[in-house]
Amino acid sequence: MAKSTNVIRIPKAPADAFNQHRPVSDLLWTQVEHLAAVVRREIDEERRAIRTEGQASAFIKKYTAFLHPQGASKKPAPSSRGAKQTSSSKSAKKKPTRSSKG
Amino acid sequence: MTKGLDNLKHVVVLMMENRSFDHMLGALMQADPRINGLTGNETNPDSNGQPARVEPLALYQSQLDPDPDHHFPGVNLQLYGNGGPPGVPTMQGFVKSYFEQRRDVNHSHKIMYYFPPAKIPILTGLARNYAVFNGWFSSIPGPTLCNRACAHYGTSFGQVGMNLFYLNVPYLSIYERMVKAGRTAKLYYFDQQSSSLEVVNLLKNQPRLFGLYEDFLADCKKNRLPDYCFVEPNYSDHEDDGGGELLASDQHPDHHVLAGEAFIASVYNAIRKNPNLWKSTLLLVTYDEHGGIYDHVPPPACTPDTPYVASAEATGTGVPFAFDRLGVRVPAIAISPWIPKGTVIAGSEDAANGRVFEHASIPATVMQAFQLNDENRSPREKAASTFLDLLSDQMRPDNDCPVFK
Repeated sequence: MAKSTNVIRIPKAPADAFNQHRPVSDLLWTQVEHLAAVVRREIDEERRAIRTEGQASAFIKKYTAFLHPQGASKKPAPSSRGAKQTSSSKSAKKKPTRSSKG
Repeated sequence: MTKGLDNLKHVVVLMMENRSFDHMLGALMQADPRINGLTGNETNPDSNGQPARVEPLALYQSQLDPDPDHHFPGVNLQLYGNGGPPGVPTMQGFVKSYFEQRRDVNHSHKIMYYFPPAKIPILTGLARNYAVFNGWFSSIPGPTLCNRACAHYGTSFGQVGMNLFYLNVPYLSIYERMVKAGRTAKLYYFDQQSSSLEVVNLLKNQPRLFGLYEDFLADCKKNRLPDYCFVEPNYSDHEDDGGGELLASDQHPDHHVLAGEAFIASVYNAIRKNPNLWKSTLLLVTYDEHGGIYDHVPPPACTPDTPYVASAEATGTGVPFAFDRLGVRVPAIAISPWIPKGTVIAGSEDAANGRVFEHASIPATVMQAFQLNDENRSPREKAASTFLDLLSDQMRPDNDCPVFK
């Protein structure tokens, strides 16, 4: 930007203008309601799409983490068979060993 | 085609919140009689029948509390006083409407207050240095979301309120139309605490269209600005991730007006500081609606938004609304180095040459700017005035265009 001879100073709001305790306006309240509606709809769509145990556990993990973020930050307990397993891995195709605790 | 139009590559819209034309720019008429502002003699009757006069006493904060009514029935009272449509609005019910909220006669007079230009140098500086519209009206005599919808879609799909859940609507947003045509478009919201006001429809269904304000600043710097973008201010006082205080910059009462001034300056400077962008961008600064604050110009009739009609129950007035008249006038300023300094676009005060604009003028202008041909648009958008003709053949010298520091 070249030097302009037409300079306008930007006025500053005073520090005491900040007020997080101001009662919520209709506009912000509507925004809250809309977000809540969208999230409810999102959860419901996710819930209705669950067909498998894996999908169920992913859903459960996501919302348990939402309710209990401390738990989400911890590493999962080691697998009972010690090796990393996925549903598509060779070992997963073997007959699963049921936990004695069901 | 003018040279200004030939150079046009980007259209940027910044939409602020809830201030009327007369409240923000009405005092400019004293310096420039072409601007259809306030003579100082405008009045509204108060609840005692006494005239409440316009006064240059607007404060930045703590004056319009409670938030003035701007829902459909409240605006109806503001426009018609104790009467109602049909007919030309009298603009005599603003003080009565505000009195209803606090039952305090003296306080109700504050709805007539306006800013002296020196108190808001950014907005008034832009108005005097570029093009100010005498006849830009909110699209609907109602609140925020139905009006913002008209900027995004060219219609509110029959809504006059705040609950806009669009399902199976017939028209695409201007952003989707742009992308469909191989163009780029984006909505930049301030941050995640402020978010977008388009959460239910666009953010939910088209998240790829969104970015944060810091992305806007970076995109301006790195020549990555999309062909069309819409900027949303910060809607709440909140702390950033580091605990710093972020003031709401939307100018919605009772947010501090100077925080909005700084935000407008920030958007302008981001474009102005990049010479490539500056010569190829048309910036529009406007407001979604008047926020219940006085303006003296009666909103005109307009093309009905067929087939939509809001029911008597939906309007809350006992009378249906066919989207055949506009809402209250708001500030609107078009900014580009290709616009001659001190341009005033006449409105209804000039019966021969006056032009009427509304928020559907935004998608209509963007369509024209990027030569999109989509006939599947609302009647309101198809009929809306566009403003590309403001771009002239002459680019102003750099030192003639203001900088904000």
